[in-house]
Amino acid sequence: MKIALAGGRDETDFLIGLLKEKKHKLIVINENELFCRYLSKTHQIPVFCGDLSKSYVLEDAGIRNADIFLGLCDHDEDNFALCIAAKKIHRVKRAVCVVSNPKNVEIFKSLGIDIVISDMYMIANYILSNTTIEERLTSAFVLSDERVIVSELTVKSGDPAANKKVMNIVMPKQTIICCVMRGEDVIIPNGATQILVGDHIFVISPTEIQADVIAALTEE
Amino acid sequence: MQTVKNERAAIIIGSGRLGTNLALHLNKCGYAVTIIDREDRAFRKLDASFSGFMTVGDAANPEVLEDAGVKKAAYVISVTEKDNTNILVGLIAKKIYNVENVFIRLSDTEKETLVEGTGIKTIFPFKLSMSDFKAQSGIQDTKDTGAIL
Repeated sequence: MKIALAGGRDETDFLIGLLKEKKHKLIVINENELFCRYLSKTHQIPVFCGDLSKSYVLEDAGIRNADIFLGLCDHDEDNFALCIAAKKIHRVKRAVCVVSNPKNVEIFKSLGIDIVISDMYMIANYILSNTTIEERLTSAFVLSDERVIVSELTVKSGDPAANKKVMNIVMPKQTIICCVMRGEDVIIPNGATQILVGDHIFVISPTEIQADVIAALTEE
Repeated sequence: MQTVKNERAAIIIGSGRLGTNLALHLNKCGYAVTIIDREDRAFRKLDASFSGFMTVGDAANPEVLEDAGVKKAAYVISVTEKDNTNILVGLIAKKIYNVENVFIRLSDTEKETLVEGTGIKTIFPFKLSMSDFKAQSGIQDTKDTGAIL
């Protein structure tokens, strides 16, 4: 894949190291000359040094039609403008905007940026997914703007799911057991799969019915 | 449900020379003006004749804009020093709050493409300087297409 990284410091250094291993074609553009030299020397790749606010810099660096463009500058509004330019003018397939203010995640998304990432926003999501009053929930994570949740439950003896085939387990509509972890084994179940005590089951459902799902699958 | 807009309410973002003068001008013309800047020392340029509101805050934050009355404003004018800030504020005002008249200042003419098709009106100080020079010097190109480099 052709991946462009604009701006940033430690995160750019880290990402280049990571992505190089996977043999991606990397285009790195940065404004600080010393840092450009450092990146070039450390990773043995060409690095473009230029003013990111100039369209010709992005053009000359060759970001046109890139698969992924990453805006990694310090200021959210700079990454925002870069991502809009990357898509509108340079036709990148996906623009990823990193933001430091978590409030900008929703704002930037509503203004047309495909992917907006804020570390604080992700931490908040993690906390919300994993701190419910449900004691039986081992872990959970949300997908798709929090509309879908995957809940991990550990099956205990006495649970309605214990020793039953998936097709015989009574669950709310819109719920599927999508994965079973049994020891080291990963099982993608079908209706005939039997659930055993000790299994970690992953159940996918709309977020708002999570409580019903947990209630249906754990000891009454 | 449509929010009733106040045709004579304007929000100005950026209290530099241009912002301040716009605020005073609109105020004199009978508009209810709110001016927003990140620093309060920016407001010292506003003289005693100004009867609008001054708010310290980051205008790219919708809460700050809402407090300034963006839901009812007919005009949002973003004239900070940074093009990217003006673009962001302009797009928030236009796309999220549907403000009818959104003006932004841009130093870099190439950035106009970023707001193309959105209905946001752009002010280029550079273009105005060119016009002013041509008018003052009288040096006009009769074949001038007005194309900008």
